[in-house]
Amino acid sequence: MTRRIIVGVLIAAMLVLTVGCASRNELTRGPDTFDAALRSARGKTVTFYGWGGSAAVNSWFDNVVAPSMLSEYGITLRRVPMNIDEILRKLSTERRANQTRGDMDVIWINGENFYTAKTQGLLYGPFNARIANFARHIDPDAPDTNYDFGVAIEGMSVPLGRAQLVFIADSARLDRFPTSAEQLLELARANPGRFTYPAPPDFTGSAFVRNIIYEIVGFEAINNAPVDKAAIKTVIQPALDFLNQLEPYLWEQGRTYPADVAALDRMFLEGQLLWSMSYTPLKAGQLIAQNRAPASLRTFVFDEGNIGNTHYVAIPFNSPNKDAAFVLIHHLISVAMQAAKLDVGNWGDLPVVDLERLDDAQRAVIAGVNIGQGVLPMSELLTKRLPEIHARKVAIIEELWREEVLRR
Amino acid sequence: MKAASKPYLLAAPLVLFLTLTFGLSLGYEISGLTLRHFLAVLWNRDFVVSLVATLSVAAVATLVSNVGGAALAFAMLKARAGGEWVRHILQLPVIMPHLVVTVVVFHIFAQTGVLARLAWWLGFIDGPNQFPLLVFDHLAIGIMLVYLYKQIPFVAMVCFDSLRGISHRFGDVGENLGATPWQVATRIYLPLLKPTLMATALITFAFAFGAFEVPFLLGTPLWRTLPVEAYLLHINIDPDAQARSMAINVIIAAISLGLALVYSSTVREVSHVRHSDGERP
Amino acid sequence: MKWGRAVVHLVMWTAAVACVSPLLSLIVLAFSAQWPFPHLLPSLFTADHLAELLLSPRLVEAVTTSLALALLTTVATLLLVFPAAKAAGLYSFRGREALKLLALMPVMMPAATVTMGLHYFMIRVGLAGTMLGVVIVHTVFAVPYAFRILMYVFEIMGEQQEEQAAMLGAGPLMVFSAVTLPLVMPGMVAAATMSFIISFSQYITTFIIGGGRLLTVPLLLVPHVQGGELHVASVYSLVFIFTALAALVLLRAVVRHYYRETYFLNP
Repeated sequence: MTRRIIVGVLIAAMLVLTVGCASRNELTRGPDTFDAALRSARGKTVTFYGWGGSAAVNSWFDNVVAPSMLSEYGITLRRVPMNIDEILRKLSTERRANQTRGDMDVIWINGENFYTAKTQGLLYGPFNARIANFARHIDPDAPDTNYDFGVAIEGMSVPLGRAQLVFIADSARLDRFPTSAEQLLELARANPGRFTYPAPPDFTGSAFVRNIIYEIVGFEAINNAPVDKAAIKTVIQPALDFLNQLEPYLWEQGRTYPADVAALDRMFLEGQLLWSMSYTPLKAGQLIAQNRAPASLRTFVFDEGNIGNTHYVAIPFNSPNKDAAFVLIHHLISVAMQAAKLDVGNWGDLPVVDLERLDDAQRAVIAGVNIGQGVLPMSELLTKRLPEIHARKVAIIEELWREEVLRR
Repeated sequence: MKAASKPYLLAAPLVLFLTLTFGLSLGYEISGLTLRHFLAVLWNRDFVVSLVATLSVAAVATLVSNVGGAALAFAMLKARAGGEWVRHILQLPVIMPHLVVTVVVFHIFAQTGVLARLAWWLGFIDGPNQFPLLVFDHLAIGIMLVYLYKQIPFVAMVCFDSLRGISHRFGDVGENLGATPWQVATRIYLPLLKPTLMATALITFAFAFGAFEVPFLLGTPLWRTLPVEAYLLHINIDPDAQARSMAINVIIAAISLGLALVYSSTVREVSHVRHSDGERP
Repeated sequence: MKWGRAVVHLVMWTAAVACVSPLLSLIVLAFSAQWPFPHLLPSLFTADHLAELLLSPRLVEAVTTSLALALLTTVATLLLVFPAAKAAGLYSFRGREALKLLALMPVMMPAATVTMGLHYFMIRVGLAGTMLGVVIVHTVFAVPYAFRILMYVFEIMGEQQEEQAAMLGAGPLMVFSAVTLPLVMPGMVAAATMSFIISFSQYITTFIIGGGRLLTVPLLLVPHVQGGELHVASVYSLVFIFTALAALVLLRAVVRHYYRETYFLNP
């Protein structure tokens, strides 16, 4: 009798082990429908990995998203700060080692990094059609729904928010704001040493250089140029010439530039410079609200438009809780979360929800958000918004700037 | 024999630990490289600029801190009681972490810093832009100030301790024979201090060469020191950038190894201790 | 010569002022809120934002992690270094010079470089982002200092006392705890101090291996320096200095208390 029990236990153990091993070798299946996701995800913990360098961003996730995830869906959100390079390296290593259960459920990503992740097979998808709020709130034809820095998204990521390059100045110190490249040159001549921009490859500085390129040679020209250094140089030469023309009137006569946008901000706030710039459209509002700048601060953009880009969330191939990931992403693009994200007291990031697909009550929620003082209304920002070019070209432009402008 | 193998057994854990870590570190760097990558890195203008800049900054910092530190040590010796007191104060810069010193250097030497404000009050400048750029500048002045703040006290302390150990009778004999204080210092004590100075020079050079945090925070966009360059490439997951990062790290390691070998061959440490049986360890 | 003495005194005073003024400026910065150019003194003194920063959960997390890492590093360093320093200090054997050179290597090799290579390895074995991984790297760079200090102490100490105790019938454990340990204790304290400070001050090693998961005081400090937020940076700097000093004083007090006066021998 005991022998049979022992054999039975051994067989059961082997079955459990083989089944256990087998399931460990398989990636978790994503839910087939959103309702299935809602059902199975309740009670789980979902991890969100992304850049943690901004207190405003972290605060929105920790103080707004996490509590509402718990109360509405019974899902616990765990935010882990990690740079996108680390995230991709981790996924890349896990992919090669065939690690089927990773640690990350949702990652925050865009641009060049999305391109890399997608081509290396690090992402799960296509999935965005299965997110309920995606169908409800996101415009399927918008360029940034389908292309991220010129790379086809094909359902592998969902937009989270929109950033836009804006310029900031103090109306008490500067009475005319430059709304074109020519005006900037004029103003710099009249106030030598009081203007400058962060050196690429700083994200904001790089965007500024591209903005000038759009102004001078036009978006179409650079967008259609092939991904080739010599060809791009020919196309953007007039813009490079302009930047060289501008140089002698800049801070330190353009012999050097502030290394990043933080340095630029600091010099602006201390009165060394007459302007600053930011990728956060509501930056001026935040500075005023934090008492770091006077209420006379104003935001402005070029008449021809400023670059805007969209940032996204995606699901890694080996996410252990794909159902919870679905729910989190669904929640992030809900009207309530997008409105809270816009609030100047939180992140100050523009929403991705398509206003035309919302009903009146939802539109009122968005319109009623406190965007702070000294900022441009969302409508104006969106009408003066220029798209990004392919990620590979960005790197080439940065190189050319270093060679042709910085080094001269 | 048990006794003969004892020192090897005792040293084994440490030896294993260090060999493993350095071996794995270098191994992983080299394994990702091919000769082609290596040559591509070396043949790059940016790399050459970085290399020259890093070596120059290290050389200047070493020169100034060792000359300054030695001079300070001599002054401390002359000052007797005052010198002892200063020796205690010198410990403060040595304990202060580089990052903190960076904050202070920035606070004092930036264009809106303490010195700039003084200059404004004294009427030398009309605005911050007229104050010379001392941090983030292409001469790495800010970076060197941080190094000097830590290294001059370090060199001074080591030299002072060393000088105190040298019998003052040498100096007395010199004076009796008519030597001036300057001659006593340079002709008698300085040669005796040479081994110590060689050691401090090598250590300060190695540190300034390989430092990361300070040039990372106070550097200029015009060029980057080698360790910073390697790091910026390391965090870029483009495989080409990774390979370039590895190549730079291997070069840095080679130079550092060279320094270590120079140190070990020129600095002969004399043990001043004898055991009861007359045997030196 | 009269002016010779004057020069010497001037040099002494300049050195003293240069050493101490950074600490003073940090204190002034920490207690001020607004200090626009060109004022020589802050226009607004406040202890408010100091209080706010000190109570932030991130600072508490950073201090705890820094202390934990430093403690673990110190223990690991002492464990590795003690036997090796004893070997180098007391015995003459082939490879002694090689051992000393090996122990010196971390001083010569840049931390950033070594760490980047180790990073690849640690990702492979899953140590990346763990405390153990970071402690390993910190230990590498603490070893040379601890080794030199302890080796020197052993050289001075010699084997006599241990041999005599053994001859009097003490077992190896007794020899170790009653004779060796008390004799090297001052050296151990010095070595522990150095290891602690080194681990506590690490930035790039923690950043690369920790991958953003481990928050230490230097990691908390750097973004504020980069952003030019000097007031916050100075508060964190003072916390840094204060915590390190407090931990060290505590360590010394504990050791002194445990070993009392009789066992402390000055080399």
